[in-house]
Amino acid sequence: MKDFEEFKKSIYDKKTAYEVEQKRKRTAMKKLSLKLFFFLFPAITVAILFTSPNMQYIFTPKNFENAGNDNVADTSDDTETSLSNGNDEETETPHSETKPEFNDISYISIGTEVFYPNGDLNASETNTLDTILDKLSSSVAEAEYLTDKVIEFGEAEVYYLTVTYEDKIVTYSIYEDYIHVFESDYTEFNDQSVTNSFYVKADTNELIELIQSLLREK
Amino acid sequence: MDSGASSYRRYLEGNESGFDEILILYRENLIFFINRYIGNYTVSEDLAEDTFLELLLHPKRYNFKTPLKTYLFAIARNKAIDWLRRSKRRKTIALDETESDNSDYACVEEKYIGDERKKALNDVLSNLKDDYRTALHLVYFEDMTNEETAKVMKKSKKQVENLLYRAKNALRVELQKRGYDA
Repeated sequence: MKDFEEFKKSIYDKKTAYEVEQKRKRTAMKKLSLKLFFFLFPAITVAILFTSPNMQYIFTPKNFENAGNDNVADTSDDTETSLSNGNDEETETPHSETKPEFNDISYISIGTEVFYPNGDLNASETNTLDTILDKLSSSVAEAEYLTDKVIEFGEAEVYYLTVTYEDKIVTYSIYEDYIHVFESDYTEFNDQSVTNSFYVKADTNELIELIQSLLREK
Repeated sequence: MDSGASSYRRYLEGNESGFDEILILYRENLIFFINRYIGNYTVSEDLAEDTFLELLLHPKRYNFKTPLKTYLFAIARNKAIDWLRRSKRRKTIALDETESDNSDYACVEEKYIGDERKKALNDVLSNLKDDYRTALHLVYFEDMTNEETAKVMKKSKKQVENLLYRAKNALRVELQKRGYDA
């Protein structure tokens, strides 16, 4: 049985012990918070950077510079994949030493693919060959990032031209006697949605010659 | 404001002797009260210390609207119930410790319980249910009103009145069994 002084001392001892323990907990929590901050802040920042559609858009040209690599430009890749039967091979990939500016036309990639379209060919009144020729010639003429070594042509192959705009991608698949125009937006970077797709019956020799000449001029 | 509350106010204003006065006023009562639950003097003393410690650690929790005694007994009751929940008390207490406790407790009891009537009551209380025992203890040994008892036991005044009615009946039966004139 404690006397009064012992009882009182015991209470104050408990108080001191409690305060020391609280101080230790607070210090530990501060350390933990700092650790979490220094770990989480960079992690969250990096995660935001790499998940933001705008940032991915900016990073895209870097991939594009890796000519000959399987990881060619994501935008053209996605378009190709959606058009091809999975048997496509990038033989040449255009690239530029300077970074493209994202104005009206950021870059044009031209490649080849083996593609056998199914379904009917529907001619479009509003998208005649002339319209496409105009569009193509202006696109190619205005494009700053082109090389002249990208076109290969074989019996089962088509000319494959991708024009990347600020808010959409237009792919021209040029067959012997018709052109398939395929437009898609890429507001959602990995989820391109087709906004327009049509076929134009035409003798494409003229078109191919035009492209070749434009490329030579470039 | 009761004397305990005024002492506590003085302690909070920086006068250490205020806390001493509170200890003098309530120390033995609290130990005695807690021991009703615990049945172990050492533990009761320890829990009484923890009860007073609350006053030092969390001064803002007391609002000065209720008597300090009621506040302290409410804390003490909670601590006793918590302790009982946590421990398998009766299985772990050593026999010599219990004996020593009993002698300590007997000293306090002697000092605390003055007249024969209260002594008889104290003997019988241990056979009653926890709630009956607590209510009767607070009313007969601590001279608390029904309202104060209700606050300590976290019950309504009406519930405490009913509880006391049943407790008195149970007490009467127990006293008669032991040959006291109820």
